[in-house]
Amino acid sequence: MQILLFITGLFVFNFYNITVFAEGASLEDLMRQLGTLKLEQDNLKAHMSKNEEKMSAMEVELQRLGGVAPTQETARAEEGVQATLPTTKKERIEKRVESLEEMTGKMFLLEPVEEIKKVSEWVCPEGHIYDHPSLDGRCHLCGKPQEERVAYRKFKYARKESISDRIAAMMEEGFKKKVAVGLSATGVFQQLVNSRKKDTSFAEGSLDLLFFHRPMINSTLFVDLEAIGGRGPDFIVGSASGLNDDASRGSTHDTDGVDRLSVREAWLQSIFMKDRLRLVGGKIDLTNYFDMNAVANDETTQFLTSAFVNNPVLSPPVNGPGLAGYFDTKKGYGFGLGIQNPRNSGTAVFDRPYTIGEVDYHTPKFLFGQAGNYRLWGRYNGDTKSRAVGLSLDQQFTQRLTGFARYGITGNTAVDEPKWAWSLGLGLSSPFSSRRYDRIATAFSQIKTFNRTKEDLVEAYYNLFLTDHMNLSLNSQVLFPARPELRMSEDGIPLPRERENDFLTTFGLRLQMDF
Amino acid sequence: MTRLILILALLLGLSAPVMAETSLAGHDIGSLVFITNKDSNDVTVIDSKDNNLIARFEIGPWCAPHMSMVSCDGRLLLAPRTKKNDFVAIDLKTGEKFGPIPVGFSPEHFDCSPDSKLCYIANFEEGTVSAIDLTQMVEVARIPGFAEPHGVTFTPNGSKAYIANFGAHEVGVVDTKTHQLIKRIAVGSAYKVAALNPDRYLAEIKGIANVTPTPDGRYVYAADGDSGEVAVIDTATDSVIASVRVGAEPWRAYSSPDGSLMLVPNNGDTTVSVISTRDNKVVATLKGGEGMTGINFTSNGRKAYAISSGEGAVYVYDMEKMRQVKRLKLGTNVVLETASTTADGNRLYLACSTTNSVYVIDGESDQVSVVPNVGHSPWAVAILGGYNYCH
Repeated sequence: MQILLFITGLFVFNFYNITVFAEGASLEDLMRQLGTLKLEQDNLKAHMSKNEEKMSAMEVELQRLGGVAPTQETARAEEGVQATLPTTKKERIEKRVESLEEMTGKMFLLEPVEEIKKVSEWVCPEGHIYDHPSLDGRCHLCGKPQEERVAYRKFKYARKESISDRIAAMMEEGFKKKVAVGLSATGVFQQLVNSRKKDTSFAEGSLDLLFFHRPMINSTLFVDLEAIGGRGPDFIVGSASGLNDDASRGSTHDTDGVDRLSVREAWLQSIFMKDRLRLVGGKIDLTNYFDMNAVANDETTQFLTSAFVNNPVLSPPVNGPGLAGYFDTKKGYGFGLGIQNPRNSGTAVFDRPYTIGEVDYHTPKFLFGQAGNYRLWGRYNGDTKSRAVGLSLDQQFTQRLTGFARYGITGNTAVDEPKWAWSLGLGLSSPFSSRRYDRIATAFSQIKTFNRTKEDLVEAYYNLFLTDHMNLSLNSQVLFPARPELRMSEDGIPLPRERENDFLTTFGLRLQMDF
Repeated sequence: MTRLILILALLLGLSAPVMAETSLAGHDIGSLVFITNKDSNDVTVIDSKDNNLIARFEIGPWCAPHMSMVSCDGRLLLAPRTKKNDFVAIDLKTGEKFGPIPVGFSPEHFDCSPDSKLCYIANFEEGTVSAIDLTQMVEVARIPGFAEPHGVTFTPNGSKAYIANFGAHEVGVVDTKTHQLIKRIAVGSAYKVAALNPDRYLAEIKGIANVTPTPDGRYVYAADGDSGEVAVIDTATDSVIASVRVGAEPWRAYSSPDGSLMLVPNNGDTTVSVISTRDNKVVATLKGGEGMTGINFTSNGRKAYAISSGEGAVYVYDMEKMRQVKRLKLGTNVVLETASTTADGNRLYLACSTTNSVYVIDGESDQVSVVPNVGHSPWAVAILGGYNYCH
């Protein structure tokens, strides 16, 4: 055994030396390293003895706080405090904490704090910044005029912060990480300007309370609770295009005068295969996964008309139990498949389902060397036996200007479904250099309804960015011809038709807030 | 006792290959990859010829070095001891250690002048920049006037250094002869939006992380996180000659090897904006990942790699077709840090802080191999003559 040990030791020793000397290390180097190590050892000892002093002092203080009799050293320290004897126990403890801080060099409670402050600065067009204006109001580097403006700058200080405040903040932060809550509120006011009827102004509002949670890695639980109140112009106009898509889902304000919340969506999404496959199950909205469009897909921030939010021939069922899957090849192509119960009843979930499939092509450089998205979909509604195909595309022309188009046609005659529909439009971001986050867009749509009448509609909006959380849109729609079609009362009784003007115009304001 | 000696002997034997080397004399410094490990407080060295660990340099106990780099002449390994508020240099040939040289509070990023005589260290929490004379190994100046100074960039002739302020929307210009802050350059239009939404901007500032020069040093590009704009600064006049709108919350610009493109990862909308430096316009917007920390190039700039720290994945782009071609998922619960490209532009070395390893990506085949156990929390990678950066 000793021989084995000797051989092993020799091997290790030789290996170590061979490695060292093979790289050119000399005895002097080794001695120098040894010296450095000794120096570090001395430093470490000094550091440890200093810490020991602090620790013993802290122990004494902790004993005192715990009611243990003070030692000689701390008794002397307390004599000084006796001169201004605290009146209450709390003050006594505070005094002792202060004393503890003094002993420990305030290492524990002194924290760097950062604060962002508004500062005034003077800047020339070429970007040169000064804290003060020059006498002639011009930049001394380029000679161009200076302009005063308010900027934000971070400053750092050393401040004493309460440990309890810090703990509370950390706990609050930890709770926020568990469930993220969002709020989205939209208010729409619309005025019919050339209607012969009275009561031609409409107000509608919706509120969505959104909850996100990640129960597992690559999984997301999402719940959207929604309340809608008020009505849009379709209450008297009855267009096939839908003049206010936000109001199209119907009010959740009951006839008994009570505002109610409805569960609009509640689903679990999981991602598989290196982010290629996405599966969603629960109460879903199929329009979130099919017939998407970059310019025309959101009634709260883009076009308000239903015909520009989704293709009218898509005729999706109301949100209900269903499944949606999407496979992204990461090579530009994607495939989606969705199946949903046509009624939100919770019974006979997969009897006569609504099914939809889609093929996508996404390219960062296509026409005009810009990004484009092209989608072709087909759907079958098992409940009404109707089927349809359609396409949705959006193509950037420049970094700011994007065009879109949709087309869809049904293959049979289901009541209340359009025969065909198409739309075309343009969206421009940053229309003015000073309004970077504003958007302006216009679009035209044509729908052939089930009773073989055509309906045309033009919409334009200007979305004014107010803050990160708030946008105001000015909106106008022109409907040709405005023919009321199968307008029903709330009790399901057909209302008498009334001839309107040859065209009908609306002006609207929409305020949208997200938190 | 015998067993104990045996175990100790074996441990010593096993650790000898890594622990033994304290100098790199005889090695081609340009072929070595330096990994900064925050939690083991050291810099380990990988030989890129065979991807073996060949040396380990102790930076100092409890110092959490943020990054390291080799001086341009290949003589010194430089590293800030971030938690110790000082700086060390190690002679790679002799193993001699210089310092620690006291600097400001929380030194993180730094840059070395092209003549390897000067080093500027950004003291992030103190708002100052320390100038270290590498010939004397002393701090010759501490330059005030910055807000969270982040990246430091010397011009190719070494006459000026550009300091990125992450806590403000401006770039500082320092004269390297006088060590004075001579100019402040405004970047982006965050002040306009901030006027409408002051609460948001009083809570957090996402300013400028780094200033990126074109290879000829004629221009530098500075991305401002809050305004989503990239300022193009003429280094001759230090004037903003163009402002390019990119995506939301751009991190910083990364130059292609020939300087024709600047790629900007936008973490606000998980895209990558491609700016043509010829006309300073965005020519493509590519899909990116969450929490992108850097972009590297291989194959003479024909391919680009965006590191998505949040997804533990690397997005691979064909820069001729301007499209994403692959997404290399490197594992679950993998937090990727930064990468460096070898001087020949053929391979990437990518640090992963959660697995204590470095991923090596072949630029031609995109094959990934792993160098395990490089140290605790590898944070940054540096290669002499390679494409280096930190975050």
